Amino acid sequence: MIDLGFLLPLIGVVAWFVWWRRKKERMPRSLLWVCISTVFLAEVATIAGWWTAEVGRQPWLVWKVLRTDAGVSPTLTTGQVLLSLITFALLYALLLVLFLFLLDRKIKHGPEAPEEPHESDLPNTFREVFRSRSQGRASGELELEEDHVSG
Amino acid sequence: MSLADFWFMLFVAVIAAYIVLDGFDLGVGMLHPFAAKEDRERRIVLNSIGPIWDGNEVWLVVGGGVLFAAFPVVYASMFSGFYWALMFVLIALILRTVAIEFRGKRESSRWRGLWDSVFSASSFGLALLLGVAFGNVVTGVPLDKNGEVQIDSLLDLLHPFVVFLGVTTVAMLLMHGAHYLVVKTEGDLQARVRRWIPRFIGLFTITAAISAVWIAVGDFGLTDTFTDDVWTIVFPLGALVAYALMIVMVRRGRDFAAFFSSSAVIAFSLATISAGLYPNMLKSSTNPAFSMTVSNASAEHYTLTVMLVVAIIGIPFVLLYTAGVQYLFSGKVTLTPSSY
Repeated sequence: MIDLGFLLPLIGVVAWFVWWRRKKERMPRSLLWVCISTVFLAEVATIAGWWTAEVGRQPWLVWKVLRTDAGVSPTLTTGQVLLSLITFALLYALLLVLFLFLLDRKIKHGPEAPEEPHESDLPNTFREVFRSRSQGRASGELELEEDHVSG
Repeated sequence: MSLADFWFMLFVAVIAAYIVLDGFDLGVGMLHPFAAKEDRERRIVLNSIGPIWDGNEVWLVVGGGVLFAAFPVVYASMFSGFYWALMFVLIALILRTVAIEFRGKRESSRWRGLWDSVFSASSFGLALLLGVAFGNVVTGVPLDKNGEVQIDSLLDLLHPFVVFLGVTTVAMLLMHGAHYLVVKTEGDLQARVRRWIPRFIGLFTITAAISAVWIAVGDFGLTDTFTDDVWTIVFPLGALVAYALMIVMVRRGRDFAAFFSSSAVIAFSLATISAGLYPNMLKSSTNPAFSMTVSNASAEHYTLTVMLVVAIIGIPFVLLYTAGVQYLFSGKVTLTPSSY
């Protein structure tokens, strides 16, 4: 987890450096693949950290206070736990497939064109919204036009 | 009043906040496929709860936290005893979240239709499960002397009254969600939902009346409080007053006041059941002596005191940001490029 924590910003700096050296032109494919891998590396880092904490704490559930075998629910059967584990594994596998599908589409779609500066002065901060509301202005001023609406 | 009594009241207040707040977005979820006729309307319905549904669900987490810290024995019994029931809640919560987030990611009508079905089905399932959970708290569960719930299968948790309270909860949240949608929408969509409100109120009136009579005559031991401590009668009276106000406000077309009254009906109904239950928290249907009460299930005095300090600092913050977010997104829904 710690190694990945250093690696992720390093990839960012390297990618930025290459992009800058190449005068903001095309990036090498290999580097782009490394960038895509960071989506999953961040996930791996999270799980690895959790894994370390859970496994490293054994055999204690609460360090030096409660042992794991003393904390098991007596009414729970192995079958119930196994079945719920399988259910969650299947659910997460399904969500992973959907995630990959959407990620692939998003990358192929590419970034949105930079937005034109807005004429409607959409407020950015809570303070602005609250101020305009407290001054009793019509809420219509805060809304975007209907024709900006897209899927 | 002991510190444990205070924590019981705080726990009930947190759960009431959860049902009032997440209640309307579950109701909106159930109404979603029927209220909206085409994609734009569906997006409006979804975005009426878009910025706030996840904040509303935080109250369930707070409720779990309060139970864990203040009444750890009840927490332990419920979470292991109702293992699969809670797994179903968890799966429904996950699917509902994914449906809300994924729906707008593609234009395809089949894609959106799929997630719409998941969204409304999981909302319906959660409303039903909430009612079933409360039903079990009312009837009591087979707790043994070690505080363990002894059931052979989940079907043991489905007493006829429990199932009926589930149906009542669905009717209540349909009504609550419809009030909310009328506040948040305009035009045809609003007119359609507005026409349904009297029917939902009717459905809620019938189911809630039957549930109330069932509790009174069903020998669940919930009526003693009201004869012992007469002041607690303010809770059922409050629910009735709020109910009457709701009907008046619907007649006068005061949409927000009607929604607010509906919230009060829910909060007072929950307070009534909790007052009736007191001092029990989880009743044993095997032997009343095995029941978990506010005093025998509470954590040590030191824990409750530390928690009190945390709560006094933390809860005003949560109330403040909840109110702030609701205020920030008040008014009719408008779709923007960043909407769901």
